[in-house]
Amino acid sequence: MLKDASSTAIYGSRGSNGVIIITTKSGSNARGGFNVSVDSYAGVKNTARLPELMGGDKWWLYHRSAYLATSSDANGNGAIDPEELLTAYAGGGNDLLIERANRNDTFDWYDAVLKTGIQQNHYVNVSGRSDNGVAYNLGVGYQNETGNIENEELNKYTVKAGINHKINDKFSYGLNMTIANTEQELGSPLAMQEAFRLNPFLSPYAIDDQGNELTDMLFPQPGKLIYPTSGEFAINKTSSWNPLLEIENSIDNTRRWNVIGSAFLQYAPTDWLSFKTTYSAGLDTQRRGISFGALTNAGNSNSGLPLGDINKSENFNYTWDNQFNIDYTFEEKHNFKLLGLQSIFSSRTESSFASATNLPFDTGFYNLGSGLQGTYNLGTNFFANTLNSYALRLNYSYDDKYLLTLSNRWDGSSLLSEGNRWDSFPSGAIGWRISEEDFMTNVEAVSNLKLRVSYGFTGNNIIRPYATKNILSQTPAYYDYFGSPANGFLSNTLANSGLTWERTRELNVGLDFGFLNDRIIGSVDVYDRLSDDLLEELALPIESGFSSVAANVGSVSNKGVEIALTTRNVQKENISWETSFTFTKNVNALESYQNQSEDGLVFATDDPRTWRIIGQPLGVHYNYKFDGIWQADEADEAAAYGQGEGQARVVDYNGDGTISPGNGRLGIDNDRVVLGSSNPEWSGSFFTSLRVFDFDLSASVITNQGVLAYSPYHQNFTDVRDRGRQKLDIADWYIPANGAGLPAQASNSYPQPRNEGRFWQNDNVGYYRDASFVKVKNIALGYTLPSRLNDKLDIKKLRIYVNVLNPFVFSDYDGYDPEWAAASYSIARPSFVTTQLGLSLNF
Amino acid sequence: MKKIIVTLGIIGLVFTSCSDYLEEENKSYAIAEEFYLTEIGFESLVTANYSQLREIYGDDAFMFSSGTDLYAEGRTAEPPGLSQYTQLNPSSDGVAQIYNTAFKAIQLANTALYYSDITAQSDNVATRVGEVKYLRANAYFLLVQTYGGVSIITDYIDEPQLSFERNSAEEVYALIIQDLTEAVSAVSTGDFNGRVTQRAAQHLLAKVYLTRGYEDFGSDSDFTMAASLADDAIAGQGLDQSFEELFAPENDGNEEILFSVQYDAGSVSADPTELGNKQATYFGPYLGGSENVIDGTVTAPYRTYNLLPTEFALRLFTEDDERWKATFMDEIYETYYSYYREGDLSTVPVRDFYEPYWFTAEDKANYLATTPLTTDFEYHPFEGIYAQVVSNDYQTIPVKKFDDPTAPFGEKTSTRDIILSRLGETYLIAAEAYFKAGNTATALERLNVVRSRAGVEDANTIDIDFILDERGRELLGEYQRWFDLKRTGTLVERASMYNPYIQEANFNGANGELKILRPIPQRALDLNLNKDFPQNPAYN
Repeated sequence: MLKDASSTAIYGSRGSNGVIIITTKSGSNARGGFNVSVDSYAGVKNTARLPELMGGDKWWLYHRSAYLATSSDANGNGAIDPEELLTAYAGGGNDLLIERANRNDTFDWYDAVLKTGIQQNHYVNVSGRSDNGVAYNLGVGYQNETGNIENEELNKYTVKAGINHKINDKFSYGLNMTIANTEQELGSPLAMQEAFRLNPFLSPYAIDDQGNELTDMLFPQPGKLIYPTSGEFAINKTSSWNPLLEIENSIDNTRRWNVIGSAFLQYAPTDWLSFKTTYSAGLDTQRRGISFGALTNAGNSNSGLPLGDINKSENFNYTWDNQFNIDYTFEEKHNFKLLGLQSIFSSRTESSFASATNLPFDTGFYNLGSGLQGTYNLGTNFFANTLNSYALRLNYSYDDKYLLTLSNRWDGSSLLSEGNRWDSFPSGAIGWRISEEDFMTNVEAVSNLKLRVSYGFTGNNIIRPYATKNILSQTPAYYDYFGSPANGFLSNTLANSGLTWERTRELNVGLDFGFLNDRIIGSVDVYDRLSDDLLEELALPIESGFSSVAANVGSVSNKGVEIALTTRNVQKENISWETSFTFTKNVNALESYQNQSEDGLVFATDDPRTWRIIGQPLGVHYNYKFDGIWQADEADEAAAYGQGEGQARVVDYNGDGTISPGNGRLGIDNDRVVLGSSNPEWSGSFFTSLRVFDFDLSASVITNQGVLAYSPYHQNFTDVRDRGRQKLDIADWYIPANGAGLPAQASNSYPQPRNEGRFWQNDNVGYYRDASFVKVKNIALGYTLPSRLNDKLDIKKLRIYVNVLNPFVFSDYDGYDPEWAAASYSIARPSFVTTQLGLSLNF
Repeated sequence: MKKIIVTLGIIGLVFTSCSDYLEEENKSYAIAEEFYLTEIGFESLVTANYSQLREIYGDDAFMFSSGTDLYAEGRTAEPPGLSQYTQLNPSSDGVAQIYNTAFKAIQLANTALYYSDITAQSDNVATRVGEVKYLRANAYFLLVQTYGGVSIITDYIDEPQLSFERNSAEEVYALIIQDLTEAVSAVSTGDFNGRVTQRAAQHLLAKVYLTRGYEDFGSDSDFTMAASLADDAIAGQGLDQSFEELFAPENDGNEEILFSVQYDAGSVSADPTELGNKQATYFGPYLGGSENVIDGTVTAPYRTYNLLPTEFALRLFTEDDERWKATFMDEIYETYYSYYREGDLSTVPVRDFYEPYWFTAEDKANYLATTPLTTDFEYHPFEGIYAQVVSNDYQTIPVKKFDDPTAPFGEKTSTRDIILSRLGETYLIAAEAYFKAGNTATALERLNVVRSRAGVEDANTIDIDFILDERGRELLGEYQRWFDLKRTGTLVERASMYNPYIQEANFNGANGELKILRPIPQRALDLNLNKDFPQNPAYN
């Protein structure tokens, strides 16, 4: 992994977030002879750590209490009586709901929807090298996975081939290709969300005239349950569609072909000079088809007929690098390396889209033309961008002790505005291998010590294409003049004619060390990065009529430290034990925005919950601070704030008696404050591996600490504005003293349902959660066949193992998975634990 | 070796560094600076301006109708800030709708005005400029009534502008009047065909003068101007069709319509949830969910169960008023849409009847004896059919003026036009303007044109309350009411008197001010780099 400016220099803007070099098996590193390796595992995925939802009794109390605030005082006696409350929650025909509630006859939706997923993955590789300089590598892979909901499935087939040919001392060439075919079925986008939101007294089944469930018959709308003969409502609540029918009748299928290939030719006229040209290309074609059958919510609300759409896209990209390398040493101690690079990159994407509704047949998305003509919808699109680069890099080392690197690169990007397309990014680095010095030769405890300092610039040009042009939206602005259709066309975004490179200045100081014969190795890195002209979508004031513009919005600094430490605790022939720790801390702060740099100045963005505040990290959360619930004896104080008993209260920081949204600056007259940040205060990881004779045991742990997330899960499952959905099993919520027969319940955590107050309802102050966690990523136990047995079996290596992924998570966060706490609710899924059994075999 | 050199040579030939390699290749997007210069491109820009009307009016109706004397929520809450004022604050649900849509329309109008000078000139350009000025004025008129003074922007914005100042309401009115005055003389003098006509512009300008007349900075001459412009817009045309015909689903764009937001099934998106507008989904009870689609036919529309007519609204109508039956679906036949689909209704059984307040026990008995009824027939006594806490489907009386029996089932699927100006209202503007200008006789004359078409006797006396009552009867459900009460200064009084959920104290805002003007949306303040942009005084 390369991160500092100097070492990423030759990767240019594509390496602006660091470079991870993945060395894949190509022909060039094939060993001699004929080698076969088999890697194979199979596993099961079980959902884990499901959030605890309300039980029947608790939900029934919640449900009734949620009508208290809005019930009508029909008899005008100034209070809500039990009868008036009953009218409110049971009106419209809910006798069966009440009966089920009285019996506490609940239905387990988790159980009905979730299942065990299966996964398997097999990869076979053969490689070899012949005497005439030809080396090859061939691989075939298959992966299959089913999800935790019926119908979710992934199938992936991979073929890899690599060949290398060293023609003679001067010329060699090679070719590599990977072809992957993936078919992914995502099933119903709604099912899980709907199922977990249905209240526990709703079941997926129809009923007979006595209200008994017919468990062989699914009912389309469990919240609108009717008696078959009379047609009257047995339950009359939500119109949500039966999730089991959604699952059975929804398709969301993606088929993808991904081909990556590269070829190179190398010419080395002398032993110190070489030329190399490399052409790499990638082709990615995708087809995504979505369809909903008649028996889904979409189908039903669409004249009761199926509907579907299809999206196809094709991306082709290539990179062509031409470089020369000089590697020259004279007087044995002076080594010079000079690299010159010229590179072009091009990427183009074409896509098309078609949809139709009112399909007469259940033909998924494969017969859209049979739909109703007026519902046809189609679109086509084209995107392209290019990058042109030159780079020079000089490495000099003296006696392997003193190292110097100087480089510069020049990049031109089509995404940026004319006149600003080209920029140059110089960098330099020095290294000192202290352990090679004479005075260190006697210090036996130190086996390696190297000091590194680098300074340089990197660039980033990642922004949507055509941001510098006033492009007209492809979707017409529909209108008609007395029935004659006329389509208008308009720009939704503003062009930016000054768009330029985002430029990051970086200083990095690092120390690599190894002690006691490298029994203890590690590194410490300290960095200071400042990114100027940050490329981002800038939200424009509403008055401007445009929502946003792609712009160079400001500058942000990142300062931090990264520490890695590995200790080889035991190193014996039959027992070895190694542990590694990493620790990273990054301080991220906005230095300027929109040419303003006054500390504490607040800027809104195009996402209402994302803010930019000078001096604060980009992941800052800015809002009123939730401060409990107004209790009955605080009603007068609440009234002074325009609020009432049972409503959510926020902190009045300056105590001036009003809650003020402030004038865009952090400070005394602003009751919106910095609540925290979604960037962790620090992260760490821990890895340990133990080998005892032929057994090996390893475990890895990661942690993020000091993370505050805005949790869409809680916005869904603790939303007391909502009356009819299932809720997280919260300890309490506010119920005022009442004459309706409900027990009063004080709470400082959740307001009175349907009387939650403006800050809970409009400002969503109640859904921030600490998402810090410690997660055991995996624990693996393996057994390797002793080498004496290998010969008998004519194999080189055999290892079998059991691997458990995500077995334990320690966190206060009580939604799905703390690592994904901020993911939108429709995307987030319950956590699952995977148990794999695998083998890897070489012969 | 030779082969290798040849190969290298070919590579060398292929590799020629083109200077235009970095030119962005754009195959699928038209560029504004090119397209708008053509005649067809400029026309499309003007159409895009018209389409903004669908953005402004096609979505929620709450900013136009909530929190007034005529409508209140039933089973489904309206945005509580807009509907009951107590919770009205700068981040309340729904308060930003007009701000967002109107400023987008204004910028698009400014774009069209900018291009009108440099586009290919044709006979149409001057007319189109007039039309666009009308549309810009309409957007500013909505803004100034809703929020008070706002930022005046008349320039085409072609680079990011981050800071905006607040202008006074008086300045905004001056711009609106200037735009509309220019529009009156520039636009077509022909009949309404979907585009702005001279009479449409006169109608709107009359309304603007009338509204300014009530303001501190207005004057009595505003009322005289309003009266004379309204008369110009009337242009001697009477109200010749019945009220029922005026709102018949197939009669969109009839002779009385001066201006409406155009919808047509042939000109909507193919997205099943974005096919049209929402006007038809309000003003009535929930009539069932997607189970109303039987074999592909919609039997009853989706209704939100809010913006229900209040008891006061229903009691405005008298027994002889033809508008009662033309406004409300007081009898639901076998299915809701049977009314439009059955040729002869005399034998079709009724499933729901909503009793008017004037029904006596005898009337009821008579009705039940003479009407064919379904087995699950429900008779809804008057006490249960207006806005109140309700729980049953079909409980309150539905408004039928906006029904679109051809629309797919859904919340935003009606392709009926949304009427913004019609002749009946022009008469009422004239009446109000003459009354405020002191000419009671002509005021009564204009008002009685509307009354006589409805079959009710002429009024002999007139005051603002009577005019507002008449507007209630004539314009129920049309997107006017909040502006009517705001204009006439009767919002607090009438809303607290006639809306069951609003007390006078609900209007008490910050700094001792009343919450009459809506708050400037907090998001607008947050996005504006000008941190001194003032909020309206009743809010903080």
